[in-house]
Amino acid sequence: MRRSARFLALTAGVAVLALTGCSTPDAGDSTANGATAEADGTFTLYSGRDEALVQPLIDIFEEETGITVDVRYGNTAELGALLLEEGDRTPAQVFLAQDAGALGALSNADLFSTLPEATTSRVAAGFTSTDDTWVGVTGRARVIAYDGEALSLDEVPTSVDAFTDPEWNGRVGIAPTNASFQAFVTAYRVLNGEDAADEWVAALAANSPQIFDNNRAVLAAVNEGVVDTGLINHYYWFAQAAETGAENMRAQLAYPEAGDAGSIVNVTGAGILSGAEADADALEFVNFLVSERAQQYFVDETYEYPLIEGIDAPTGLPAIDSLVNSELDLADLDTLEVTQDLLAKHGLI
Amino acid sequence: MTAPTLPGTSRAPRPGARLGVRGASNFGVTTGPARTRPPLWLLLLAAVCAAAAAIPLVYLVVRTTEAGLGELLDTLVRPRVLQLTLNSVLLAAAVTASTLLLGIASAWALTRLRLPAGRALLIVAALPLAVPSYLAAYGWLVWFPGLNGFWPAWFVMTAVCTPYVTLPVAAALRGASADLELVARTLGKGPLGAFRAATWPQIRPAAIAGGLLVALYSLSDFGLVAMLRFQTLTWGINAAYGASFDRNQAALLALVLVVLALVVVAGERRSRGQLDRSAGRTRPRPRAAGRLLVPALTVLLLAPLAGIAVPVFGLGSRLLEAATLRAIDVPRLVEAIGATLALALTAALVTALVALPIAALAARYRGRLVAMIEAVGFLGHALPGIVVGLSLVFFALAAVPALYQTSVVLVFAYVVLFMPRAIGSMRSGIAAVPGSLTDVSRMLGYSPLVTWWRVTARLALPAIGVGTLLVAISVMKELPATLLLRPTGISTLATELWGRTAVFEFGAAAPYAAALVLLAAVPTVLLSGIRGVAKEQS
Amino acid sequence: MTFITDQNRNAVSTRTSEGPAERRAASVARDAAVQAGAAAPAADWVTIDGLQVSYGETAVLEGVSFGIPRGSVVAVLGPSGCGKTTLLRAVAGLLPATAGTIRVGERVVSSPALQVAPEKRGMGWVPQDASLFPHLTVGENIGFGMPRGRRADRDSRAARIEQLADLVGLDGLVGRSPAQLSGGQAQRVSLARALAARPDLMLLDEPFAALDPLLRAALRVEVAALLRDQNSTSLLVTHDQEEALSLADYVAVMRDGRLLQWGTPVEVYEQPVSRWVAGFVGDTVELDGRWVGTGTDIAAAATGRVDCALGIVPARALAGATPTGGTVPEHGTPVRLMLRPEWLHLSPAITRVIARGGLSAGQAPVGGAPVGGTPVGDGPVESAIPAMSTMSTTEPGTPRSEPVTVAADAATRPRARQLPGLGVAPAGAEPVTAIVTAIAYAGHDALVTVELADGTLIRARVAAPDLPQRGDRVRVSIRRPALAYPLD
Repeated sequence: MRRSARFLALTAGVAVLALTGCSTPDAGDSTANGATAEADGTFTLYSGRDEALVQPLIDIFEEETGITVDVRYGNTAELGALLLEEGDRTPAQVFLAQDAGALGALSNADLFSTLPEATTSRVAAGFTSTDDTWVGVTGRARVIAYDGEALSLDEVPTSVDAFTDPEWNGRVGIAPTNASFQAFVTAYRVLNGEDAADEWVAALAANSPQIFDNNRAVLAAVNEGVVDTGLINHYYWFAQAAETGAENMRAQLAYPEAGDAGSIVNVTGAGILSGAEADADALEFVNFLVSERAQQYFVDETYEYPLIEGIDAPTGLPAIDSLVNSELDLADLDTLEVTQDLLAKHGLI
Repeated sequence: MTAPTLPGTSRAPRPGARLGVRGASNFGVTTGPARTRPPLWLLLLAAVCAAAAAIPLVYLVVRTTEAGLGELLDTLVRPRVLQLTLNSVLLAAAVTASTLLLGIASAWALTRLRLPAGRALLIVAALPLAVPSYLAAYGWLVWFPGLNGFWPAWFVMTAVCTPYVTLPVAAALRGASADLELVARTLGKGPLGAFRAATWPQIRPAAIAGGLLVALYSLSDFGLVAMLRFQTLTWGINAAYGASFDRNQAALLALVLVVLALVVVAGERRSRGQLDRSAGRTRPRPRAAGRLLVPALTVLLLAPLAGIAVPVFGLGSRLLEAATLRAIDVPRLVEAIGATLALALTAALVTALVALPIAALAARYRGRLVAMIEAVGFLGHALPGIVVGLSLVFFALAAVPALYQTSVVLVFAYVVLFMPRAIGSMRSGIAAVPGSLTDVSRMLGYSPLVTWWRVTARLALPAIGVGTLLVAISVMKELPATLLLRPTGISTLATELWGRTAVFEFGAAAPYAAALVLLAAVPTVLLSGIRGVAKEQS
Repeated sequence: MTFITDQNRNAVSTRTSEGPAERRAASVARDAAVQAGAAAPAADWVTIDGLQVSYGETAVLEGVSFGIPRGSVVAVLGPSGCGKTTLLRAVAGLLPATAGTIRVGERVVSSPALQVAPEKRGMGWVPQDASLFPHLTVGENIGFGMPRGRRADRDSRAARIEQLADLVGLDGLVGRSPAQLSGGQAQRVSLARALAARPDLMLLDEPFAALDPLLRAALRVEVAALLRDQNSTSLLVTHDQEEALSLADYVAVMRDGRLLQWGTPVEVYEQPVSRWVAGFVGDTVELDGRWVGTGTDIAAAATGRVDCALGIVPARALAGATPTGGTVPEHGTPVRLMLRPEWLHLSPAITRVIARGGLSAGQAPVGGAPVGGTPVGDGPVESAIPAMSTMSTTEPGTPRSEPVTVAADAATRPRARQLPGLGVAPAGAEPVTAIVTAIAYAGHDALVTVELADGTLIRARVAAPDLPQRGDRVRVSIRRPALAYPLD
């Protein structure tokens, strides 16, 4: 119903455009005109998470609350850039992001409103923002994907430090421009110190890693036997396994040992844009995301770690506690910038 | 002896005569333009149209100046930026060279040899246009997952870009006189030498215009180089936006692209040359292919095989092992097709309208201002969709916030992005309309505008049509700007496809991929069938 | 021609007038008329005054002025790059004039203050390559400029198209496409298309240049007749002097953006204002010489005598031929003579061996010629000498460096008799002997190159029946006074 109404709006807009040249306002899309501050039974969500995974959850939310959600799907990085560009004129009230990097960037640009403590306190420190500008929604473990046909599990290093060894020359796939990789390098810096981090990144860069654009591409390459190992988030393996069947997966996952810099949890999260601070609908949605219902949905459907108490991690995954390092605020952009400088210094980004 | 005076060869004009006409009515009087200077209204119109294309540039400059000079220099001299720039240049140059070679050879085979199913072959040669570059790259990765780096990127990019050269050159070859080549042969040139000496000058403008599109496309493409892991400037731009959220750095890298693009456009303008259509009435008759059949077919089918067949079979095989090949959401698919079609058609028409003044100006006049306007018109094509998309976000929110996230701004973005494809084709089409015909029309009592409509536009109609269709095809395939600017809730085939491949739903993505390729194939087929408007000999 | 202006009558009269003085008078009168301004529109349908066209800094057309009487055909003649096409385009309005005025009838169409748009000038345009609209049929091309009126007008429009097609001899071809036409046919369509709008002035830009010579000759006769028939005032640009002379009422000779000469074809051909014009308008024979006798004689008669390789010949000085600029030429002043090849007469003595040695059947070299069978001077003797042997004989007469010597030398020769049909052979024009060295045969006539005693090579045009052969010894006289030009 709603979709066809939008489609009508689109065709109407297109027709008007065709008739009048360029300058007639599109009558159909009134929702686009700036943030709606009040609760009016509807709000706009920018979702950096994919429609196939998120839409069913939104459908549940709409059904439960009667609130209409206009969703704009895109990838997290681009939506983040879009929100930065839109600034306070954004039509969005809520941003659901796939990684903490984008959330931190928006937070640093003062584009998020502060969430109520009741909301943020549901998620343990270390999995959410330190200043309550956004809240963590799910966790993704940093893992080593390996080619199950070329390597056995015990041949896979248990620490990322091993990947600077000549033995792994040209055999590691990474996505250094991706926020999750950068979060991991940040963790390395925090845990092992700047000098060690510098040394490690330099050694890794010199060890002919295979550079990919994103985690998905790294996993695909491992799964095709193109590269022996890859540093990714566990989530992608389960997403692909859902499509092709876990039994058909050539790539397998290995978890770095606890305490290793490679063993961290990346979080997805959501924040309310600053213009929508008073929008109860938006807040209700964010609260819904950290509700048991939604958390269980993520566990069941996307194999991600729940971030609230009382929901169990997906079966077969290591306990989240073994991965957590509470010293890290992954969204701290100042730290992120140092990481980026480090990666840039060694030519990885 | 009185020498007979020549009647007034060197007399100054009488001042009285001048004064006499000053008072004359201005009705029907145009102030005379100098020959090299275009009429003011056309210049203004073209400048306004080009201004649309300049929006991204303004945006980039604003963003870059925010960064400050120090940061600019720091970023620019980073070895990585140099490496990315070098990679971009390398790829663009290599792809342009290979598409020119392959495209001209294909066009030659299509027009000069009698090949089995020649008409079908022409369509097949054009078909790679219907495949988005990211889809082609993906299809190749299915077969050869290890493909990465320069050579695969060069190869697949060449395959998908070759029609940009093949089609215009084939059209030019059809119109080129065969006489000169025969003359050259009698003067002792070999077949290749004769081609170079006699035919190349006739097809050069078309070939170079095609090469320009290819070069700009190679510079601006991100999907393909990301899939095939060849790190170019667009890779750097996306990383700056997406991972670092450093818009200033992204803008700076984009400006480097702009500079590269301007160099390319300037180079094209210099080497374009003037089209000389005078010589010869003999149209070439295709000859029997003979022993050239196999090589000709090989050359012809190389791009379609690499650009279409391999990727499509790759996607198909993925489909077979997919778990998401469930019931196709038909209404949703239909809706995406409808949105794609509506956007593509509207954008194509608007782009044609906006490109026409620029094309008309560039076709008929020279000069610095004209060159500038044309170059600006080409800028959008050198920029990745995300840059153009963000610049229009910036622009729309500042200038027309009411239109933000409406199809109007989206269509506008398509205009900026794809205007060059229309300009290139239209320009050569208009340039090919002999000026003597417009003179005749003027002398028969028609104003410049009526003349434009009755003569120039009519004769350039095929080229205008080609340009419009090229835009329609490109719009259908466009992804990053669409994602940023589409009205919330509206999906095109490309965004639906993206949404599904992003979550490994290859099965669910397949219908969208198929629909996209099929839909884009329609204008492609139309495009390859366009001939001149001249009355055919009966 | 239905409308003959005073000036036109003047001009026409020059064709029959004997003396050059009248011609000059006509020319001066026209000049005065143009200068007077007020008189010009009355006399001329189209007036071009002080026209200048510049591309940037460089003027490609400078101070061009002339008038075109209504109904006449004017040919602008000049080498490529002389600005003649620029002139045509400026008149058409396709190029803006930087200075000067153009008037058609009472209407100013171009002046520094205003440039009437081409479509509002009411002129017809026939471009060089016909330039038919390839997307239209022949009929549609012809009707292109006709108003496309309501349904009622359609029939009359179609009828007019048919009529025009008939006019240019293309009846039945109106449904064809331009690609199916020959070059000549295409040019006819182009002409019909321009005539369809009933223009005040027809402009033709080398309309026959792209055609093959035979077709060109035939078509231009036809077109000239057609234009006159339509009472169409026409301005035609050509680089082909034969075309200009044969179909125009007036010829304007241009060079380097300037109008060098304006006049009837006869004026331009027979009294070219400069050696350059002479050479451009037709074949020339040029000889160096010196004035003989007193200047006053020359001034009075406008003719004088010049001593040259042909002996002492009558000569007339034309524009600027007086070295001191208007004063009478002095005895002995060097001068350059110009003759047309057909002004030279190879004397009947060319009835050489064949004349006596028996005419073979089918050959009648002398019988029909005006000079035939009339031996002149010692002709019979000379003609009896076999051609080949003549080649080796040493020519009597020595190289002359002094005019006096020449005169004396010439005086020793027998005087030529005035022969009927040979044109002017004034006193002092002694026939000199020469040897035929080459013959360029052109069917109707031939250019015969002869070598004079001093080694000078000159060419004479000889009608076909009178042709000598190579090696023949001939006598050379001139039919009319040579034209004398100052040395450069």
